[in-house]
Amino acid sequence: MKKNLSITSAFTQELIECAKKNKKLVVLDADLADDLNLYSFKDKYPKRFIQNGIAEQDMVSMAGGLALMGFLPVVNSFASFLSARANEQIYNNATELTKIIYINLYSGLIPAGAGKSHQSIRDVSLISSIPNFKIYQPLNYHDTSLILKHCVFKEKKNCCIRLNIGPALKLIQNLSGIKFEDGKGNEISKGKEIIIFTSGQYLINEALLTKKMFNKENINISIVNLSTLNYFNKHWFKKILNQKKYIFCIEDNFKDSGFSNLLLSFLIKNDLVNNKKYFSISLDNFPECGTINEVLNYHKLSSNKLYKFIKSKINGKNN
Amino acid sequence: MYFIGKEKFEVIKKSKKLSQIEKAEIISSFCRLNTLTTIKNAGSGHIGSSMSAMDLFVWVNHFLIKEKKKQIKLGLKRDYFFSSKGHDVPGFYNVLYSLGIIQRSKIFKLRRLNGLDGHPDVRIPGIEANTGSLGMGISKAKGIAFAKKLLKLEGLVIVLTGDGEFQEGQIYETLQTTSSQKINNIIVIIDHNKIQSSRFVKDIININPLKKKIENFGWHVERCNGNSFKDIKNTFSKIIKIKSKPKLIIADTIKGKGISSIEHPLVMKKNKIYNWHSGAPSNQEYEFMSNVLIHDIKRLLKKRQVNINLLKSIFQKKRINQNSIDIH
Repeated sequence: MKKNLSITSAFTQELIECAKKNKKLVVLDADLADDLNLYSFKDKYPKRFIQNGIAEQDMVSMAGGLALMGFLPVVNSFASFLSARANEQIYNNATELTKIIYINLYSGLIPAGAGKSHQSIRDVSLISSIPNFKIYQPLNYHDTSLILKHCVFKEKKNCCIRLNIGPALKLIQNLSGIKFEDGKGNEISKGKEIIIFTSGQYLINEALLTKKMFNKENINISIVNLSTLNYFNKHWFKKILNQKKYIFCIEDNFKDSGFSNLLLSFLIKNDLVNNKKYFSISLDNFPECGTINEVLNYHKLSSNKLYKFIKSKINGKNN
Repeated sequence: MYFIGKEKFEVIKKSKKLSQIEKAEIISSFCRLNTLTTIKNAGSGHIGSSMSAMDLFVWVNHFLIKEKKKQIKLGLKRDYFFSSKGHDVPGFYNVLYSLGIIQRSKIFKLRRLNGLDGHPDVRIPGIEANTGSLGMGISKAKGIAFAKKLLKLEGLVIVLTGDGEFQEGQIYETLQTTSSQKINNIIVIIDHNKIQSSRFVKDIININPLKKKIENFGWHVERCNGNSFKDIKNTFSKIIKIKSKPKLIIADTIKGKGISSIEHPLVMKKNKIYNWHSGAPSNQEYEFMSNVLIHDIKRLLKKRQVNINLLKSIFQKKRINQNSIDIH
C-alpha cells in the first residue's frame, strides 16, 4: 500500500482484499459511498454491495438480517448519523449476538467546516454503551489496513471503526513502525514523566507539534496513539505507564463520554493510576464550525493550547 | 388452570377426516386457551395482540410453512417467519409449543429467568429475530430475503407487523428501499386490529389510506379477514404467485379475538379504552375467559365430530404465579 494514501482510500483497498478471502463480506451504504470510495468495491463485487439510500435505520436492521444469515455486513455512514440515528437498531442487532462491522466515517471534530450536524463527538459514547462491541480508530494507511483485517478475520465482537476523512497528513504518513495490536497503543515518541494518549491523525499531529515545543526545553514527551478506544490491555498499559507522573488524554469527543473517561475508569479499576496525575482534554460544548486550525484552537486542541495546558499542569498551576 | 397438551394437537393435525381449515380452527382455539393460561401464569403478557394474530400465526406456521419443526434442520434454506411487533409472542410461543418446537418445561416459564423472554429472542427455538422495538422487522426480513437471493436459496420470508407500528419512520424507509432494491421474496402481514395499546389507531395517528399508501411505494397489496382461515388461505395462495413486487397483506383482525369479553369492538363500545393490551386477567376473569374458550373448543370439536376426552385429558391444573408488572 502506498504511503500517501488517505485513510479512506487505504480502507477501501483493504476492504476489497478482505472480500476476496471472505466471501460472506457484504457492504451496505447510506449514500456516502463516494466519501469512502466504495464504488470501487461495487465495481469489483456488484452483488455484495447494497446501496440503501439515506435510510440509516433500515440499513442497519437489514445488516442485522444479513448477519443472521451468516453474512458479515460492513455498514457505512457518517458517524453522527450511523451511531446516533440508528443506535437502537445497532443495539438490537448486537442482542442477536451476530457480528457486524460499522464504519463511523467522519468521526470526531475535523474537518470542521460542515458544522455540528456532521461533526461526531459522541459516537464513542453511543457505541461503547452497547455490550459486545469494540471501537477502533486507525491513524494512517498502514494501521487502517491492519485494523480492518483484524475486524474481518479475527475479532469475534461487533466492531466500530472510526475513520478520519480528509487527505493524509504529512507528519503522520511518514511515521514508521506503526503496528496494531488489539488493546494496545503505539508509542510514537518516547518520554520520561509525561505521557499523552490520543487517537487519530489530526490529534496525533497536534501532539507531535506539542512535543517539538517541549523538546526545545529538553523535555521529552511520550505520545501514544490509541487505536482501540474501549478495550485496554492491562499489561501493556502497566508497562507504558511505568515511571510516568503525568497522564494527558486528548480527544475530540465530548468530555463526559469519550474514551478518556473509559481509559481513566480502566486505569482506576486496575490500580494503575497510583500517584500519577490524570488530565483529560476534550470538548466541553458543541463543536464549532471553521477551518481545522481555527476549530482546534477554539477547542483548546491545537498544539499551542495543548502546550500551554500541559505546561500549566506540570508546573502545578490550575488553568 | 387449563392447558392443552401437545399430544392433543397431534391428534388434530393427524386427523384424516378434517380439512386444513377445520384443523386450523381447532388448533387456533387450543392455542388461544393455552396462551390465556400462560399469560395468567406469568402474571403479564400481551393478550389482545396474541389473540388477534393467532389465526395468522397458526395458518403460516402450521400450514403455509410445511413441517416447520423438521425445517429447522435445513438451516438457511428454511422458511422464515417472525413477528416484528413482538409483543404478541405469548401467542406465538404457544403455536411453537403446538408444533413441538418449544417444550412443555419452557412454556410455563413465560417472562421468567431461563424461560421465555417477554419479547422474542433468538436464543429461544423457533425465534428468528430479536424484535419488539417497533419498526425494525421488515428491514430485518429484507436482510434475510436479500441473503436468500445471494445464496440462491428458496424459502419463504414472512414478517408480521402491527398496525400502530406503521407510525414508525423506519417502516417507510423500508417500504421504499425494499421495492427499489427489488427484494421481492418477502411477504409482510399487518395484523390490522385497529387498536394500538389501548386506543384506536385512527385516534392516535391515522395511518390510512394504508393500502393505497403501500401500493404507491411499489408493493403488491392484498387485504383479507385475518381471523378467517378461508380468507387467509385464499389470500396467501394468491399472493405467493406474485414475483414482480414485494408483497403485503393487510389482515383485518379483532384485538382479543376469541374471548368475547375482551374483543375490541365490544370493549371499545363499553369502555372507550381497550384495557386488554397487556396484563393478566384476575382469577375471576380467567375463569370466565377460559370458560368462553373451552365452550368454543367444545363447540368446534362437536361440530367436527372429534372425540377427545376434554375433562380427563385436555385440561390440567397449574399453580398461579404472582408478582408481575404490567408493561405496555
